[in-house]
Amino acid sequence: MTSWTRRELGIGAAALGSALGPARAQAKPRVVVIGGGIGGATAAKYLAAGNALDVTLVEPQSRYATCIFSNLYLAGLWSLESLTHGYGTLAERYGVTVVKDAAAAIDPAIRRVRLAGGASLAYDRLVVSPGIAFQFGEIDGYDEAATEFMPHAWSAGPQTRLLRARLEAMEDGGVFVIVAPPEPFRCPPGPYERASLAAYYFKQFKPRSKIVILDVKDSFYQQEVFRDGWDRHYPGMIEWLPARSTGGVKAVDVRAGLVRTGRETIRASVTNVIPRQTAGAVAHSAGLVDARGWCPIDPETFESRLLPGIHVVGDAACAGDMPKSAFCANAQAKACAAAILTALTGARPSRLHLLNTFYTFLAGNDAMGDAAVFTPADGTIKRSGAFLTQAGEQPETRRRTAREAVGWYDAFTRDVFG
Amino acid sequence: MLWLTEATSAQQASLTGPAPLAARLLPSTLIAVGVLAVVASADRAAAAEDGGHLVAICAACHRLDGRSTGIPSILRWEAEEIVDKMLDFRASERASPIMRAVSLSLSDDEIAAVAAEIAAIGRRAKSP
Ligand SMILES: Cc1cc2nc3c(=O)[nH]c(=O)nc-3n(C[C@H](O)[C@H](O)[C@H](O)COP(=O)(O)OP(=O)(O)OC[C@H]3O[C@@H](n4cnc5c(N)ncnc54)[C@H](O)[C@@H]3O)c2cc1C
Repeated sequence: MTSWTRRELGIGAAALGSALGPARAQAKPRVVVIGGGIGGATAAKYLAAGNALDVTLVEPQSRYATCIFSNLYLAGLWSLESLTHGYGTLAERYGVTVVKDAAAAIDPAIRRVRLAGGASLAYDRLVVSPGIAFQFGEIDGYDEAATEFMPHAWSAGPQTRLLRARLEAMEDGGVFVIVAPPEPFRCPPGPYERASLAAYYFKQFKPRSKIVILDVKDSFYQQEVFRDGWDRHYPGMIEWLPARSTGGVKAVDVRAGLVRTGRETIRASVTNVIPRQTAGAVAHSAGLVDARGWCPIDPETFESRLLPGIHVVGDAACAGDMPKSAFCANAQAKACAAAILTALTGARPSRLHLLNTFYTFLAGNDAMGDAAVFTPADGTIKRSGAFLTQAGEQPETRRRTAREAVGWYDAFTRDVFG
Repeated sequence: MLWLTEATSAQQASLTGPAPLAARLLPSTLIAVGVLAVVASADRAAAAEDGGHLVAICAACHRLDGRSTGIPSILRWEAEEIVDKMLDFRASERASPIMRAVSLSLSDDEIAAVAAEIAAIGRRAKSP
């Protein structure tokens, strides 16, 4: 078997630092992490933190823009730049080797990851956190090319920028249509927070505009709290149409700006189609995905039920009751890192703590803060407690939560990216 | 692996459903007693270098460099004060759905352990 040195992988010696010379690196068990998003970056950091493992993070982009708070960017409240993070601290402070490339294939038999650039990496354990991919074909006329006309903006970056540009260019009195996706999808409150914050922007600059949410579901996360917020802040501006009243979304005409439901055709000034989702492409090609489209995992170690030695965290994982959120991806990555440290170094296992929190904005100074606790049980992960924002809370409570949310973003992204 | 540790049997008795969550609420008259008991186990826990991994839970929301930008810093308190606050959150005397969830998901020993660890980080942050 070929043995690859870092030099052959095209990584500059300077980036490695003398402490990570080949001899010492080879003495430590090797963990490769695919995907430098929320789950992958957290896993890399917590795996490397004890300095017992040789950790390599594979990520094609040199900077990562968070979906978290990207709806605040759409509202004109935050810049995309302030939502963008690099990998310098993971490399410098934690000794993670960051490889700017995409994983093209995984060979579990010989425990190697082949990179798009041609090189390959050997691993003792592999962590896969590739996020989501979109399943086109469900809505007639909505394919990959259509995303340039009706952006999904469901992974942050150019798509988010495009949607913001569309909203800025929209005339006052226009109609913004959001097509909300089927379960399970990344960020359950996300489409409805997006409607709230688009309304926040319209209220100031385009007050005659309307927002129509065409849902393929008949209910949504914290529906009462959202509707209460919409009534208070944007009366008459947001219309939510469940599948039972429209017959679902059937087709789009991206050039004419038309959206056809089971009942009618709506002319939209701007359309945001959030399609059905599945695990990221590399999870599919590696054989980590089951018939449901997600990666089945052991609820304590996040090791794949299909391919031993490979762990899946974040949105791609099928994690029982845990929603697909950054907070969950971060908690799962920590639990997974602990399990891998236990397996590779004999460290004693710790009890799992799986939590989620959602800070969700209804307006610039009105946010809800929800929390839930999860426990591995019966081979899956069950929600064992939930503490949810209620409709009709004091405005001061909501203002305080909005301030807290900003502090959370700061602390959370430091926890993930170093 | 400073954040890995052994799970005690008390810690293993994890939450399994909404009912146990409610059952764990301490009546407020017992809070003071609870603080003493939990603080006593803080010494045990600290001796075992327990708690390091639990701080990873806190780090998802609280900066661990003593600065804060909207979420209060947790580094300025002594262990007893942290235990005290956590028990208040657990008993819902401080309104925060998120801290309520965290405090209910930790056992008494874990609260003691994490409080000792946070206080230690706080002391290190203060002395350059
Ligand atoms: C509008 C919106 C708002 C949101 N708000 C919140 C919020 O407030 N709170 C919250 O908790 N969550 C929120 N989320 C959800 C959150 O963004 C996701 O749950 C989280 O990003 C999942 O992390 P992940 O690691 O699974 O995937 P990602 O963060 O998407 O990371 C995947 C990474 O893998 C990389 N990758 C993919 N394929 C490969 C490959 N073959 N090789 C190498 N690298 C690869 C990608 O480049 C990417 O960097 C929001 C989502 C949206 C859309």
